[in-house]
Formats: sequence, structure tokens, C-alpha cells
Amino acid sequence: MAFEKVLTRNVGNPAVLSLAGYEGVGGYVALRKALKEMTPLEVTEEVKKSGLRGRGGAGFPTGVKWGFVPRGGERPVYLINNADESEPGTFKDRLLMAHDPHLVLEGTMISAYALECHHAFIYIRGEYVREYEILMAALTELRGKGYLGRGILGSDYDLQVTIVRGAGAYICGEETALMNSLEGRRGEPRLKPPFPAQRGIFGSPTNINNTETLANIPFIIERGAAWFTGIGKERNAGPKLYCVSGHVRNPGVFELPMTITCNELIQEHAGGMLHSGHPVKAFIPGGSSVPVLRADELDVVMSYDDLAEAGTMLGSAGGIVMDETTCMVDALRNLEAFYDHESCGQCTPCRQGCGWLHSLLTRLENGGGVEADIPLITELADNIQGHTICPLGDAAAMPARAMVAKFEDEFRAHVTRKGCPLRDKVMA
Amino acid sequence: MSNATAKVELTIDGQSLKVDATATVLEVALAHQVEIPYFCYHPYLSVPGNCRQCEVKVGSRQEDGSIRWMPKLQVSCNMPVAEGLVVDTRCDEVIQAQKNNMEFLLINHPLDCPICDQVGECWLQEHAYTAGMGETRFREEKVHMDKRVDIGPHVLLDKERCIQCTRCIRFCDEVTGTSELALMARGNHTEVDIFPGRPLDNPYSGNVVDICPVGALTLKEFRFKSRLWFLKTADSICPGCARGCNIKIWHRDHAIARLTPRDNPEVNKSWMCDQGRLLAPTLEAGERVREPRVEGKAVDWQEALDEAVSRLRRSGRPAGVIHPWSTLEEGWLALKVLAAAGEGGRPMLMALPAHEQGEDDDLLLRADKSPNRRGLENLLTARDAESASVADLLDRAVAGELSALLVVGEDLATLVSEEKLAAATAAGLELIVVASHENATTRAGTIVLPAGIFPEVDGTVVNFQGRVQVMRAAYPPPFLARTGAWILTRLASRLGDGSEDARPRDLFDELAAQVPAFQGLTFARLGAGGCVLPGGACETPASGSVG
Repeated sequence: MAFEKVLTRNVGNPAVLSLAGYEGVGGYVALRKALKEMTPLEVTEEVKKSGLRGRGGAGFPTGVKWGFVPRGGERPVYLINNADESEPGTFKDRLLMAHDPHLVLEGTMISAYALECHHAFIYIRGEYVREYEILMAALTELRGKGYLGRGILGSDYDLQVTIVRGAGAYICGEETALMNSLEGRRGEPRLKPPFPAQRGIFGSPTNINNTETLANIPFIIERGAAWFTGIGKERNAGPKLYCVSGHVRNPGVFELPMTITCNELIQEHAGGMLHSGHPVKAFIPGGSSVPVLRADELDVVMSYDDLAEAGTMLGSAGGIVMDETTCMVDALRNLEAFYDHESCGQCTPCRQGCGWLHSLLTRLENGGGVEADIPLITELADNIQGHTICPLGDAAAMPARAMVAKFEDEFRAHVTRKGCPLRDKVMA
Repeated sequence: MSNATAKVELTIDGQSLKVDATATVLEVALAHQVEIPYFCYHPYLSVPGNCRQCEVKVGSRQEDGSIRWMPKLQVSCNMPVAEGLVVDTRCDEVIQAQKNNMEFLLINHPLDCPICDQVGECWLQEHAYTAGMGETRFREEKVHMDKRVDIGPHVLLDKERCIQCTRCIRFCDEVTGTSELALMARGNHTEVDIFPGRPLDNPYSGNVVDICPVGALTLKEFRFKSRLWFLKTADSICPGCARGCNIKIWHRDHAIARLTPRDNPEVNKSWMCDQGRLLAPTLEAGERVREPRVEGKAVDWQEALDEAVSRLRRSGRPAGVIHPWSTLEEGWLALKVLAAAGEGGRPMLMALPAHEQGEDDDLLLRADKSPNRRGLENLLTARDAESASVADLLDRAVAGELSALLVVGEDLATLVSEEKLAAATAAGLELIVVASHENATTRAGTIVLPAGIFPEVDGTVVNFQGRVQVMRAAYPPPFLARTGAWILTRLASRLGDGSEDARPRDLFDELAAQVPAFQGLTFARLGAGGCVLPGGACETPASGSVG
């Protein structure tokens, strides 16, 4: 069976920006079906059966996550659509919001219904100005036409959706930091327990899902869980958006089943390497936070489980391709500069460790490295990872450890040659 | 649902404990002398889990008796206890994690201990001894931040020494509700600061200095005054208001170096107000009464006491004025002196002036600026003393109805005009004055007996909640001065009531046996936290428990 693109089917069709245009291609059929034919629990069960896993990075089963949210309690339940897409190398949610805002909204609305939530939030990255405007226009049209508010689409289900803009912090993509930010507080992650399902925003049970995750929901409801599980492979079902950036001819977002390999993604879909004669040297498969793969490791299938087995992660599926002109020390320095800048500074290992890694790598890249620096990078990564309040520390540590493990010779060369060997080569 | 009385059994370092189901691992460890290092945790503040120093290995006992360990170490401050929980605080993994975390905490710390005021009570220094690497692996430039930042009338901030534990911020958010402090910037540039033009200026600002685990926040009034190990301490009660905050007096060379709060969950938790904290200059101002005097002439104690007794006796019915700063023992003795000197048949006349200022707040401060009004009132009631105002007493003197007045601690001229006082003495009123400082009353006094004042006084006081607490002297009164209890014991003894050797604790036991409000109490029972007046004598305070 040929793979059918669903998430990106409306990309490039500006008609779907309007409600009429979106309904013209079958939009809001799933929402109507859920409201009229299914109970919230049945929607949840269908999502559970589909095996949909979170597309934001952790890959946790969405239906199971919904199951954690208590129903019928004293406090209202909130749903947050996490559109704070900030992981370096990742730009898939942006595509959905810019080209198919009603799909994003429909997914949010069905999920809210499943969770018996009457007020859903979409927290959108502050830098996504155009996407915000498009999404806001779609939301405004929905409000004006009775798709939101009291008794939506003739049902007895009430729902409000509010779009909240971030202020430019990577950390606010972490779910509890996002909640603090949404409440108007300093964007720093919360200590768990309590977990968001127990106490999220405004002291109430809260469920938070990635934008791409929720965009899958209308298709699961309309076509059924069996359709979804028929795509990809077991435990890694459904369509997936892959981002590719870096040294390729055709960077972009590609909707594919999770049976594709890294090599296929780079060579067949992303148009191959940018400069002939400069083959791929390294590939980060899942956004900047995941361990890097070497050129000889790229036959791995880009599913959650296959990549985990290969010692890395699917993460946000933000693939970053680097050719042989790339200095791995400099690439890691660049990444650690990012984590140093984005660490909220709340807990000790991340606050101090990210800055230390950044300084050390800058010194190493600039020729001031010593032999002891190389094992120290790995040790610092070990001392950060698993000791922080949120996964930002892990995200800074994982690429550092992998870079040193896989390109140790290059790190050593920076010490022995007192500088970057590649920079010399490029300059010469 | 957890329930306050439910218990669970867990194991910490092999020790099996039955504990409250709502506790955290760190709370249990602290209560059972299991040492876990920490910085950000504070028993009276919310748990941010940000310092990461208190990580422990945690597992659960399985049915087959084996232990399933959690894959990561957990911060014990936020780890709820559970049935069958197993905690290891001493394994290599935990010790190594403590070392690694200390390394992170120290890389950007200025390590300026030789010029830092916190030395001796610095947690960073303490944990560096137990979990420090000894040698740095940090070859980079430290992050530099502002030092000596003036953030309020009493507090100075050194941002480089700060470890971002947020205790000070949480204090201002959660205890005073004033939120002057916040974290600014991010990453290793994160710093505590005030908002522009909004200084840390609340009545409790000094507490942030106490709870700062490092030398980042220092008290202007104590900075560079003394290294801690040169100071002696005494556990006492703040005399500044009717709250009776439990405090520690830090002193050197018979002078107060600083006052800090002592934990008492029923009275002041571990806080005190800035007024109380900065009481020393007020106490130390003015001129002390140096020696006993009779009609302006310096005499020895023997003569002064004998003369005082003879004048009191001669008056037939002496009256008294007692400052509510006086201890229960001083009040009890003053009543004994009046009773023994009087001719009997008529009730004692006693004034207990009010010293009020401002209003009660919802945290600690009380409008009643005296530590023992409630206790003294109980004594007066028990001895059927007739209460009178000072103005009243002086009017009686002018009318020829009163010829001797025993004044303990009060300066009458602050209560009535100096003219009124002069008129009374001109009419023949003899003032027997027990006083620490020279003032209009000592100048008008027939007999002046130099007395001690806080922190030179041992004794008991009763706060507004009806809690009897022990004040302990830090050092003896200066010059020839003696404590009020010493002076009044000798007057009473000369008047035939009691021995000269009665110590304050004996006097407390004596009054407790005789005053119904204190029934069943003994000095020994008061302990560190004090005792609430038993039975009906203890009304529930209007404001409830301490905030």
C-alpha cells in the first residue's frame, strides 16, 4: 500500500486557510464524528488503540498520557497544544500552523473533547509571528461561526481555545516551564511531583501535547485506529514529519512512515549532499539534543525504537546533516553555546555545567585545549545528565557525550595541533 | 488520599522507621539524625529542589525481598515517603553525586572566604569540607557579577557568592508576601536582585540574611563586626514586643554583636522582625546607672538596700510601678516587697503602664511593645493588687496619701510630665528606683538601685499567646549594677519575706505554686520552647498560630 500523506496534504493549498476551504477538503468531519457519535472515553480509547506516540521528543504514548488525567474532579481539566517548537533543527509544527491552521485547531478541539476539557490553550513560539497570525485568523473565524463557545456544532459540549505567545525562550517548550510562562511566571520548569496531570496550570489537571501529535488526532478519529497502525511499523505507527537541514540540496519537511532510514531521508528526500565531493560526516537525527550518528551508522530506520537501539533518539525528528567540512568540536561548541544561553539557571548542574561545557569547548576550538579536557567533557555530561529538574540538562549532555565518543580523534587533534585542523584546511 | 495520621514504614541506611505518610525523605532523615547535605530546602518555605545537593538513592522493596532501585538519584527534599521505600544516603553513587554538585557550585563562586563574613556558618564551606574535590578542574574565566549591591536599608548583596538557592526570594514571596526579590537573567548569569527603585525594605528583611546559606546576603549592621568564633551565645527571648520571639544573643566583651532568631514553631518559626534584630543600639544608648545612690550620694549596696527598706517600711503603704519589660520573678518580688513593707489590711497599689506602638501585624509584630504584660497582669490579679495609673499615684502623693513609691524599670517622666513628677516629690514622695539607665526618674529618686536590663537578666516572661518562656542572661550587668531579681530578693528578704539566695528558677517555682494561672508549671518543665499557661488562664490568641 502506497504511503498517503495526510498531515501535509494541504501544504501549498491556501484555500484551506479559510473554514470553508478546509471543510471543502473534508475538514471538521472528524470533530463532528467525535461530538455526535463518540463519548470522550471512546475518543481516548481510539487514540490509545492507535498507539500514537508523542511527536514532541519523548515519544510517550498519547492515549496513555490522556489516561493519567483525572475526570470529573472538582477542578477543570486543561489541554495545552505545545507549539513552542524551539529545538534546533526542527520546523515541522511551523509548517502545519502556517499551511493548515484548521488541522491544528481541529486536532486540539477533538483532544479537548476527549479530555472533557472546556478551555484549551495553544502556546506558540514567540518568534512564529506569521504562524501566529494565520492561526489566530483561523481561530477568529471559528469563534465567529459557532465552532467554539457554548454547545459547539449543536452538541452540548462547550469549548474555548486561547492562543498564548511565548517570549522567546527554548526552555518554555519544556511542559512545566511552558505552564509557568502561560501563567505569567518566570519560564522555569517545575519540580515533579506533582505531575501536570495532577497539578498543571492554575493548580488544575493539565494535559500537554505537541502540535504534530494533536494534528494526527482528526485522522485517527475519522479513519480509525486500524488505519493508523497500518502505517509504519509496530509501536512506531502513523505518519511522521521529518525535518532535514544542513548540508543537503533540498532541506525541508517530509511526511514519511517510520520505516525510512537516515540515508534514504538524506539521499532520496532531501536531495542528497549539498556539494558533490563532500560526503556526509555526521547526522543528528532528532534535533540538537540527541546523540549524533556517524556516516557509517546511517542505515538505521528512523523510528523511535530503531534509533533508540542505535543509541540515539528520534526526538523531534529534526535531522541535521553535516558534511566532512564540518568541525565536530565547533559543532558541539555551537550546540553548547545554545544550551548555555537557554538554560533557565534554576538548578545547579545545568546552570553551571552548560556554561562550563561552552567555555571549555570554545577554548578547545581556539587552540587552548589540554589533554584532560577530553575526558572532562564526558564527565561533565555525566554529572549533568539525570541530576537536573528538567531534561534541558540531559539535552545538553547527550550530544556532548556522543560527539566525544564518536569523533574523539578530532577532539584530540585540537589539543595536539593547538587549534582546529579543519579551519586550517579551509583557510588554506 | 494521604491522611495526616497515616504511617508508612521505610528504611534509611538500614534503619527501619515508621513515619508520617505525608513526609518527605529529607524531613525524615533530618528528624532521625541521618545527615543529608542541602542548601535550598528550608522547613518553613516551599520546596524548589534547585540546589540538587540532597540527592539520594531510592528504591522499593519487592515482594521477594529484593530492592528495585530507581534509575536516577532523587532529590530527597521532594521525594515523598512510601511504604517499603528504601533510601541509601551513603553509597558511592550518592557521595560522588554530592562531590560533582559541589564542584558545579564552586566553579563560579569567588572563593573569597578570607574576606567573607559568612565564614563559620557557611554551608558551602561546610559541604566543601565533606564533599569538596580539593582541587579545581575549572580552567575557564569565572562569571563575574556585581558585589556589594545595596538592596535595602539593612541588607547587602554579593551576587558572585550567591548559589541561586532562592531561599531569600521564597521568604519574600511566601512569608512576608512582599516579593521584593526575584531571579533575573538566565543560565550561569542568573542573579538574585530587586526591581529598580523597589528596595528590600520590609519589617522582616533581616531574615533573608539568616537563611542565606552562603555569604551573598549580609546584614549591614553586623558586616565585618566580628568573626563568629569570637562570639559567645545565649538562648533568650526578644523583649521587643509581646510576641516573645525566641532568639540567640551573640555577644562579645559584654556587648551584643547581633541577635538572630531561634526556631520555635509555636511562636516565631525561625523568623524575627528587624526592630527586634536591631534592638541593641537602643539598649546600649544612654548612660547606665553605675552605683547605688541614696539622696544623690553614692553608697554601697548594703547601705542602699537597708535605707530602701527603712523608707519603704516608714511609708506605711508604699505603692509600686513596674515596667512590663520586667520578668515574672521581678514582678513577683516587687509584689512581695510591697506586701511585706505595707501595714496590711489594704490591697497593694501597683501601676503596670502600657507600652504600645503601631498595630499587630499578621506575622510577628505586636502593638504591645513589652514582653511580659500578660504574665505580670496574672501576678497582679493573683495578689489582689489594686491597679492604678502613674498619674493617679502621683496625685495621691500630692494629696498626702502616698509617701513612698517603688519604681521598677519605668521612667515616670515618659508617662507623665516632669512637672507632675516634681510636684509629687516636692510633696514628700520618696522614689525607690530600680533602674538600668539614668533618666528623669533616677534624677528625682531618693534611692537609686542600679539594675540590669536585657540581655543581662535571667527570668521568665509570658507572651501574648500565654506562653511562658525563659530569658537567659548573656552577661552580667555592668559597673555595680545587679539584676532586678537580685535587688528585689534582698529587699524582700530584709522585709522578712524569703531568702536572699533565691535564684530566679526558685522564684518561678514559688510563684507557679501560688498563682493559679501558673498551676502545675515548674521552671524545669519550661524547656527550650516554653509552656502555654495551663487551663483557663490560657486564652486562645485572637490571631491563632504564628504566620
